[in-house]
Amino acid sequence: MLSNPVQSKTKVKLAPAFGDDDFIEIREISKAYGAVKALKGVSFGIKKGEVHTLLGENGAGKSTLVKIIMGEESPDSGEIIIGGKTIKIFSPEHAQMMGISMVHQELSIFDNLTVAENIFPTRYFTNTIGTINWSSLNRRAEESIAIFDINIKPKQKMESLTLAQQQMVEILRCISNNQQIILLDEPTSGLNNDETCKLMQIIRDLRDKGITIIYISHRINEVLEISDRITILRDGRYVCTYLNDKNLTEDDLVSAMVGRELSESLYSKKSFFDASANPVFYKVEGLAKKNALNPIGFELHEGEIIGFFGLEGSGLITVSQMLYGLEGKDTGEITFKNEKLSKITPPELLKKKILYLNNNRKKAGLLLGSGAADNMMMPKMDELSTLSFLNNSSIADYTEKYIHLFSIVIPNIFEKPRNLSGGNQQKLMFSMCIGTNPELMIVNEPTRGIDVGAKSEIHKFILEAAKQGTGFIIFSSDLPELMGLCDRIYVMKNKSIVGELAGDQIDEESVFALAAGSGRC
Amino acid sequence: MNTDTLSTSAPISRKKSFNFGSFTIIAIALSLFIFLSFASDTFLSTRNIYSILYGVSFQFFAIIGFTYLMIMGEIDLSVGSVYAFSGMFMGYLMVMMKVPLLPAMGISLLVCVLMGMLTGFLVVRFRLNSMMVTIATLTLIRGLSSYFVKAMYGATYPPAMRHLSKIEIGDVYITIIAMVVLVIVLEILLKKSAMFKRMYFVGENRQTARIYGIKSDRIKIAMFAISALAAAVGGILISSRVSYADTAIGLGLEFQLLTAAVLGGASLYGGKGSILGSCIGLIFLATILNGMVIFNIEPLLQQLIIGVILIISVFIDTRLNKNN
Repeated sequence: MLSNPVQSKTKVKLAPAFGDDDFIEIREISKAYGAVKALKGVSFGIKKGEVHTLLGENGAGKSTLVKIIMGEESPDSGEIIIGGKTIKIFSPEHAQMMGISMVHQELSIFDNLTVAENIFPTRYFTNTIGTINWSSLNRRAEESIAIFDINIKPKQKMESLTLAQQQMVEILRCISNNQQIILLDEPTSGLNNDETCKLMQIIRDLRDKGITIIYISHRINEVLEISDRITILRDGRYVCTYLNDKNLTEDDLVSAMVGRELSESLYSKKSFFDASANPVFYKVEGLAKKNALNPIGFELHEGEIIGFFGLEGSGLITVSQMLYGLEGKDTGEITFKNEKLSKITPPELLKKKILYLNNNRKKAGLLLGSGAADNMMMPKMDELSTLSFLNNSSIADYTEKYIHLFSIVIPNIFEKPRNLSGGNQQKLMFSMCIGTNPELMIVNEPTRGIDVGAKSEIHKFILEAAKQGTGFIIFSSDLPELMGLCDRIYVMKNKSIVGELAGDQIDEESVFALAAGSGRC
Repeated sequence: MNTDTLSTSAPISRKKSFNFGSFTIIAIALSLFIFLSFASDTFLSTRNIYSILYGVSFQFFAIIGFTYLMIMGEIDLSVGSVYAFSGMFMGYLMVMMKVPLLPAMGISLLVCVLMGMLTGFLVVRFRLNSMMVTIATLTLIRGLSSYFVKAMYGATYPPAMRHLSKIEIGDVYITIIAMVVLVIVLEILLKKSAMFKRMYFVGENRQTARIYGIKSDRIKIAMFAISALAAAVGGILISSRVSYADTAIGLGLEFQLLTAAVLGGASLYGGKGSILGSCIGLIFLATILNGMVIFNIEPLLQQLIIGVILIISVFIDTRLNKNN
């Protein structure tokens, strides 16, 4: 039954899996990792010069399929035909030769080299005597950069760029090497709205030049904006391919992905809870740091969820880290439950039951190589031990409780987060915080890079915890998400708070107008 | 249609999957042991085994803190020098300054602990690379030791000091007893105590540990101090056994410890290691050297063999832990 597309009320056009003019044909591809069947006979075609999106929840088989196309894995059975040629050798080098390249979610860049060197890592611009001709290298790089209308210089070191700029450079590398097929894996996860618009434009330009784009993203509105066709995978199987015309809606895609209609829309706006009459729970005054943050102040009332929104460079991340003492401040006072916090360091804040959820779970926030139980115990080791001796059975009980509570899909409590899907990693990290019964949570990007199912679950958990009395300060670059969660939103720009919106005042237009000074693209 | 959502009530296993990796060294050591037992008449004698353990029991002290620091993702290459320095300094105090046994021992240990703390402070406060800092202190402390060697040229240590390593409890040398007791106690602590568990967390990801309130800097300084203290204890005992200021004491010990620790499951990338594993690693190395002596293999080859084993173990470590 799974392979049938979900019935939809609207008239949505389904495209046939294969056409006569397919450039890439994926035929009956299967792949198993041990007992786990990641792909079960997936077949469909991709045309030349189209933006073809692969959509599916985490674990649907997207990344395995992408790895096979990229030659990082070979299929157990089935074949891939590109431009009439059946691929026999599955290796990254071969894929490169076939004109396929990929912009990974985790960027593969050389931090300590210049932008120009990163755009042309292998193609040497050499003089007659064999040394690098820097001026021609830099000139060619400058030409490439000009396509994107971004403010970077060829001679700049990669490490001095923002994440978004680094990503642009990686895309430039693919284009500059005349690749015919470009795979983009969650390219916008680190980008703000402006940059996303720019990227969308670039993708359209590339498509018009005849380059085939395989696009992977969890952001459905973005997928609807950019794709020509959308293929849905679920549980390792091909579900259907949609033609992206005006009739196709977010709900169609989501229900096809999850195999059921979501009971509520993913981003229904939160019903406004006016907490302004409640006592102030957490208050920040005059928080500032030279060159990083102009003085800001804000407050959180009891029972309230507040959000912070800002484009890259607005100082958003700085604030979240300063609040938790991960970054130092020059001035500023923080009052929590009418008590001035004298020391703002993680151990001190933990004692006050203030917790922090990091935006990059792979870099910090989880121990990817230690078991789930070890991760879970970390923030509350003292509670889970007697006279410093760890109480293994209570740790196991505690871990199990949260695995069930948050429906984390995991074979046993010692499984390493490294082997879990992004959504389950995020849920585990979230339960590490919630398990301590926090009074206040500083949340930095609650659902970055995870599938819709896990996303809506985490939103549910946040709203649930807020109902139980946990205060939330949420920093996110995903505005619909903030709108679905927050009672009030502070907007940041140029390292300052430029506005505060509550309840009915919150809509996308107004927030963006404040954050960027202009509307959307 | 709706039943394909993942069931959450499925029972979750509490059993740890068997990890062969951590038992490799035990398996290898055992097979070497069995091989030597059959290949030689002299190997499997109580006296020979006893002497292997006695030899290892001195170095064992030095590998305690060394292992802890490797777990935390740091390395202390100065252990060999501290091992040499502590005994010579204590001997110097007794021989040249006529300081009695216990105060001399106390002063020497205190100085070593302070040096360890200083190293830890430099590494933590200025975020210096511990390998480079301890190469510097290795050289520096070795330099100090040479001064004592020269000052005490030819003198043997006083009998009270020489007696230390010969103390026996029920016909067994105290160092061996200490080793056995420490392996058991420290291994239990390492596996069961919250305090020690934190070291693994810091070693695997310092940033993550920081977010959840673990004071990694403080633990690191403490462990550099413990590393120096433990090496100093072992050093005093080995000096007591050697009975005079010998320049060869502790020379290259750091690399032997590194080899043993990596063989015993520690990783250069941090987050892994155990005292039991490191101890078995040391016994394994000592057994190889013992086997070479039994089969009359040129002693100069011993260095070469250790070098080869180190390369192999680092290779295996990197293959196993390349994800980090």
